[in-house]
Amino acid sequence: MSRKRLIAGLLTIIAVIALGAVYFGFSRKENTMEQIRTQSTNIPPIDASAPVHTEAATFAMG
Amino acid sequence: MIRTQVGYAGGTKDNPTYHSLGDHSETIQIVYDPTRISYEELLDIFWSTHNPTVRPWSRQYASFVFYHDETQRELALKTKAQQETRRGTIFTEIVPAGTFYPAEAYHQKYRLQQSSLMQEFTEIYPNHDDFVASTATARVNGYLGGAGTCEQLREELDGLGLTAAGQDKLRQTVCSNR
Repeated sequence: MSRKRLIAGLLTIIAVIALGAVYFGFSRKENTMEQIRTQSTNIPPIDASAPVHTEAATFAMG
Repeated sequence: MIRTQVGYAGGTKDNPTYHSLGDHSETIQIVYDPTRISYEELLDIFWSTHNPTVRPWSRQYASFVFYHDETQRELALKTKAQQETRRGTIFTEIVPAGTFYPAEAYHQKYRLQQSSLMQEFTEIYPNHDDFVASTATARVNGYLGGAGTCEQLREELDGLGLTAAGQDKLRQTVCSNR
C-alpha cells in the first residue's frame, strides 16, 4: 500500500514538473515572439533601410 | 549620413574619458553613404563650420582631419591648401585615423537627449548602442541642433519612427525657426 502511494506521489510530482515546464516554455516563447514583433514594427524605416556599403570620416572641429 | 558618434581621438592615452582626456581631442565620427554624399562634400562642411585659422588653445579643442585611407588624405591636404590660399594659416592637422574612443553615453545625441522626443527613442531603442547607431536618432539630433531645413524634414519625417505627436513637435521646432 505504501509503495503504491509512493509511486502515485512520484508520478504526481513528475506530472506537475512536466506540465509546469510545458506551460512556462510556451509563455517564454510567446514573450520572445512578442518582443520580436514589437521590435520589428518599431524600428524607424530609415534605420531598416540602411545601405550595406558605407564609409567612415572622422573630424575634430575645435 | 548613416550614423554619427562623438568621442575622443588623436592622443596616446588608453581609454580616455571626458574628465581624463589625456592628449586626445573631442571628435566626431561619421558613417556615410558615399553614393549620397562625397568625402569632398563632408570636407566642405568641415571647413565651413568651424574656424581653423585660430590656433587651438588646448589639445581638447584642436582641429583635426583623421583620414581613413589615401584618398581621404589627399583630399584633406588638397582642400587644406585651398583654405590656406583663401584664409591664411590653417591650424588643422591631417593625421591617420587611429583608435576612436566613443564618448560617454550622456554626450551622444546630446540635443536629442535634452528633448522630450527622447522618450520615444528610449522605447524604440532601450539598448544604448542601438540608440547611438541609429540613423533616425542622428538625423533628429541634427535637426534639433539647427541643421537641415523644414523642407528636408518634411521629406523624411515619416521614416524617423516618431509618433504623430512626436512628428508634430519636431515639425514645429524645425519649421518655426527655419
